[in-house]
Amino acid sequence: MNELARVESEQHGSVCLVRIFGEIDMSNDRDVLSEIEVAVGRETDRLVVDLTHTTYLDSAGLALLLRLAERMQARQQMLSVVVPVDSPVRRAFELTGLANVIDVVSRSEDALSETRPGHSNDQM
Amino acid sequence: MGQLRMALRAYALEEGSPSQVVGRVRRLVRVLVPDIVTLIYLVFDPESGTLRFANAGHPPPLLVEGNGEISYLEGGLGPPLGATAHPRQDIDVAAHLDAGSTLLLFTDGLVERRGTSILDGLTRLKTLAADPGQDLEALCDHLLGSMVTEEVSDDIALLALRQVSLTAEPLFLRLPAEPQVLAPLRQTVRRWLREIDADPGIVDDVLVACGEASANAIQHAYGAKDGLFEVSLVLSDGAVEVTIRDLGSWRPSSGSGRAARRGGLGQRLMRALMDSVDVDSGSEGTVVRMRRSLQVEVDRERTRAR
Repeated sequence: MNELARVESEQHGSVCLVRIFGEIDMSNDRDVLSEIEVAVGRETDRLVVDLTHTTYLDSAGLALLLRLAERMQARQQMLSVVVPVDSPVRRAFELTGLANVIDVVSRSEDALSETRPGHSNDQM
Repeated sequence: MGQLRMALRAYALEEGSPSQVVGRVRRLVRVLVPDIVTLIYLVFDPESGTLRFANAGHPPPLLVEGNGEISYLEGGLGPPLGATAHPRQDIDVAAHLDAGSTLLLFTDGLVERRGTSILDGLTRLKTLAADPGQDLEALCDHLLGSMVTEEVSDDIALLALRQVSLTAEPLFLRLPAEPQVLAPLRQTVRRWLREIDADPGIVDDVLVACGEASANAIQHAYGAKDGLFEVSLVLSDGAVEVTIRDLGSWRPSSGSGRAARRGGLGQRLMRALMDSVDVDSGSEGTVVRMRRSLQVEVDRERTRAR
């Protein structure tokens, strides 16, 4: 396929795991956000967005995540983002301080493991 | 023919290999079109220089390599579309375009002449294309001018493709100010940075900074018809200098809209990722100049300082 990004989702009980493969920029950020929101059902307590296979992310993608975080918070749902330590995307999070606003973990196992404290609510 | 082109585009998006695309069009032609149609379908990857194609009865591509060797890519020739009741499988042919090589694609109107065989035309073309020169426009003019000396009944199409070497030469691009150009722009900039052996971490940083400035240029041009913007990268004194210029007028971001949010983050990222950023905004456009040293020691200092 010729798509810039591919979104895959899985439901693990009340946790929705969404993996983003490829690149996000201003040409597809809206589409990617729509696809993520479609995947998050009403029964979802927590959304984990896995960026392990995201090979490019700039302010368009960061703004997407902020938007998503706001919407999740309004619906009392939690959001975690998986960004491996050596990922090219990690820098963008650190340099913009987004890791202080959105719950960022290094491995999806950490995000999927049992109940976490209301992290994002405290920090926002 | 219009239907065939639409179908070809649709299959091109779906199918993996040229032979699969051609195979599907072949099956469609039997249903749709009573004529014989020739088709050559090629996929070229500028990063690796790899060319793959499938050929249904079309004249072969002419490859002029960087070292001067010239040959027709005659492999895998299948029957034209619509020609046979039980077509055999279309096959894929692979070739490689080295830096400096030129590929010529054309319709048979270029090489067919009443009273002479097509082989004569192909031989003539090969002789004429032997020294293609730098300028592809001039090459096409020269070939058309020399090959087409009388009235022809067929339309003639000629396409020239050159694989450019990016090593250390300044990169200069002029692009439509549309979001869809960002991905191919990244691919080209990535290639250029790899050619100059930039550290992978620095490549990622420069790509994002470049992406931010380009996204801004595209945003500034919104509403302008045929808006263009320019991107240049130059290696100078062990640093990459990126210049991005647009011709739009600065529109202040309205409130908390998507553009404003992205803009604030974008500025922060650009300045954090590059050693220096200069933004010069005027009524005639904006020029962004950024610089990033390629030395990894300097990079470590930056990380520590954060």
